[in-house]
Amino acid sequence: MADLTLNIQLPLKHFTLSVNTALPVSGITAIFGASGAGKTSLLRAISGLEKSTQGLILFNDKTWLNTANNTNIKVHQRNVGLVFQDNRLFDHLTVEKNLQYALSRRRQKQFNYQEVISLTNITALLSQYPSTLSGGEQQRVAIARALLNEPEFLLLDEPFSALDMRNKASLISLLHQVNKQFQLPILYVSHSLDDIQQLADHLLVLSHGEVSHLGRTAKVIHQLNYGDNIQQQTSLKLAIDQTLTEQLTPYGLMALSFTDISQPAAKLYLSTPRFQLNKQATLSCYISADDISICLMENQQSSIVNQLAGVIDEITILEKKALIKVICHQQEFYVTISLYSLEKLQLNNYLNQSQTRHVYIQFKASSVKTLNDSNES
Amino acid sequence: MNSLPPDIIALITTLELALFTTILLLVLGTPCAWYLAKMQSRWKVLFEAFIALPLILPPTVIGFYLLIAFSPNALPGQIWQSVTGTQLAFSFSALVIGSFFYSLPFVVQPLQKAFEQLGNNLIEASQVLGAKPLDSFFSIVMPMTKASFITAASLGFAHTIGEFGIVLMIGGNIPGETRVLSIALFDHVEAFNYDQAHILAAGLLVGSFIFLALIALLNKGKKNTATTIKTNVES
Repeated sequence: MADLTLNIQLPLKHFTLSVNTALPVSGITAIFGASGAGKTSLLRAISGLEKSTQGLILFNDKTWLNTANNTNIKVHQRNVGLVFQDNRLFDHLTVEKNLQYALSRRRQKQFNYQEVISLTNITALLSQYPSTLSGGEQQRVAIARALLNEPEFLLLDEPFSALDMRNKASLISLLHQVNKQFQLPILYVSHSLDDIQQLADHLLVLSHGEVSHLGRTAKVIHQLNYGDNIQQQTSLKLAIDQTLTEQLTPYGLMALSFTDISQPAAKLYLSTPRFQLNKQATLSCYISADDISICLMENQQSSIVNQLAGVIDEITILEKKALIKVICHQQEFYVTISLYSLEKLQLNNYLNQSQTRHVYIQFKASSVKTLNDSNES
Repeated sequence: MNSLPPDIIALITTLELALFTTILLLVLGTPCAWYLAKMQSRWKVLFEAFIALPLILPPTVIGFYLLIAFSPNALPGQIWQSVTGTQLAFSFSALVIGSFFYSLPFVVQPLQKAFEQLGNNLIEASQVLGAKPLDSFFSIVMPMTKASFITAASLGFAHTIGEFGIVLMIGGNIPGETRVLSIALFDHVEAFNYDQAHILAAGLLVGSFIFLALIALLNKGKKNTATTIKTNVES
């Protein structure tokens, strides 16, 4: 498999970014880490913008940097697309002229202009100046501009940081399509595991300038879950045609079975997604552990539609809260509660014990986040 | 041209001098301003002080040293003579070179400020899109700092038109060659020809005012895009 080999050192303000690894150049790879961990600097080093980078960067069979023999391919020759966090659109040019700027400097001529424009949905914006656009629109234009330059590798720095939930969902979907439609490998920086779970195939975790984890996203997130300060989520991938049990259209709700459809209680109520769903679609559902609570008894009087019976499988004490794994109809759900609640419900008695504890978990339909995976193979 | 009145010839010489000097200032002052804007050395202040010298030095001081440098006995004068076959001192070329040094801060400083304000963000964006450094400069930097270029060019032009001390020291008073309007005005005053002096003085006054007003009008609303961008990023 093609890869990006990195063995670099880059002195930063408080530490040295030191990365020695090989990243897959296929699909979507995310770089995750706390603020100031060196994520953006890593992207800049790969693109050639950090001139003091030392070491070796190999992109497939090409040497981009080898300071041992004074090889340093310049930024404009690396053929990397970089979408900056602040977009960096040229304010003195209209959107169309911004796109022409990239188009006239591209090295290959394979991507179709109209196809990129319609994919990024910016046809109506072409005659406008970037400063008149919203954050989401600017981000789409920046992505279109990068695509029209036909890079071999697309890098994005915190693409969702300035977007609201709706724009974020639409951009996640767009990046999925870009990756599939143009066979363009993507490397992007994020500080949100929520986004990463929805988008990335691979995950690299940076901590103080060094790689602490690298691998398939699900596996790395599982490893991370045992650390503190990481937002735990429950992830489910549900095929609509096999799991749809109820459609409450007037209420904007639907119910999907998350295990065997013959078990009527094993269903998940969620808000009907805004995007068009076809019967063959697979829906990725995510529920943040912070959005799920635990009851010792079923609460019949509650407005919360998702109430599932389960048993506690594992309790992990984190810094200020407890992460509880509850098995409901063979499906794992992750719940975080405060240590105060843990004591109040006397669940701490079950720590390190093999005794079974039956509980109910509950969460609102609106706390189930969805993503259409119909384009995924 | 000899058939024209001497003051008209002086006007033409002045405009030619201002035009050539402004072109030279833009061609050489722009890279100088760029270098200063990007320079991070602790010696930067010394370069900046050197460029700014004409702002505080009496023009006659600069003129005096240039006169010595341009003489056939000094190395610059000798090199000039061996290349062109003519003497540098008291020539139109000497005036252009002298005016260049005299007006340099008026061009370098606004451009340096504009380049500093623009920063590197958009240049990086253009380079990632495949633009080479010169391409970046002409396609991004120049259009975004257009207002500062207009200011720099107009200040350089206007300042050259108004110079007197340096011209007197290195140019002399050769009609059609080095006799510019300020010298012609001085001649009229010395000869107690106040009517002619009034015409030149008032002409320069009104002309300079109209010129500066036109430049201000041209720059109105043409705030450097760089400034706008910086504000956006900060907000």
